Amino acid sequence: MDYGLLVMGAPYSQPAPHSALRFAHAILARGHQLAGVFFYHDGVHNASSLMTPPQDELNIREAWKALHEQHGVPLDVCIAAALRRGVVSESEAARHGYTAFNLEAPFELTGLGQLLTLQQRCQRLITFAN
Amino acid sequence: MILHILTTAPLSDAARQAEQAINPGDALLLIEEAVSAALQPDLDCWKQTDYPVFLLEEDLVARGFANAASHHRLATVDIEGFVQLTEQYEQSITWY
Repeated sequence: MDYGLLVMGAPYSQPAPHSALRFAHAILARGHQLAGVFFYHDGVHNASSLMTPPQDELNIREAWKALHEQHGVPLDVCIAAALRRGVVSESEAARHGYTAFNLEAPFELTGLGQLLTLQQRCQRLITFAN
Repeated sequence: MILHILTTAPLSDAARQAEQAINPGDALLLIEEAVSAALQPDLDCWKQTDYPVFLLEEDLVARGFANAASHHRLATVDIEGFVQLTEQYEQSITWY
């Protein structure tokens, strides 16, 4: 079965993304496909390449990235939610005249339309939010 | 048939809304903060028989509530069981 995940919680302060990550591995372990993860609201913080947890703790951005590398899971980030919260790609940083950016591939800034597409492509869309 | 996924404590607004929305034949899965329901065996959700209620095992263990759940003989599922519930129920609503 094709699954999609909607993640709306911030890592380290809310349990939602941690639950979502465990669930993602569990659906793959049961032989399902993960068609995509969409990060929305505070979930956009999962994509920040500047997050620096202690080395003996989970780096959730790296964990999502590994999911992409090992299983080809698209990682889409809502552009409106991200820019509001200071999660910015290189091209958006250039457009706004910023000297730094903190969103890189495999995360991609996309619109809400991408969430609808994901929902239409999946048999199951599971929301993780707090 | 809907799987209701509750993420907040039993007496929260979201929990009350979920309780109002749930119908016979649906199922209720308690995850994250909602697993504190294991400490309250007198809650309505444990007394009714219209829909099954499950606690997510990993979240119980993380909070030290696993013994309370087994003491009160409350149904639990692990993360794989969570996936199985989403296989079984075509739709899900997350209450938060």
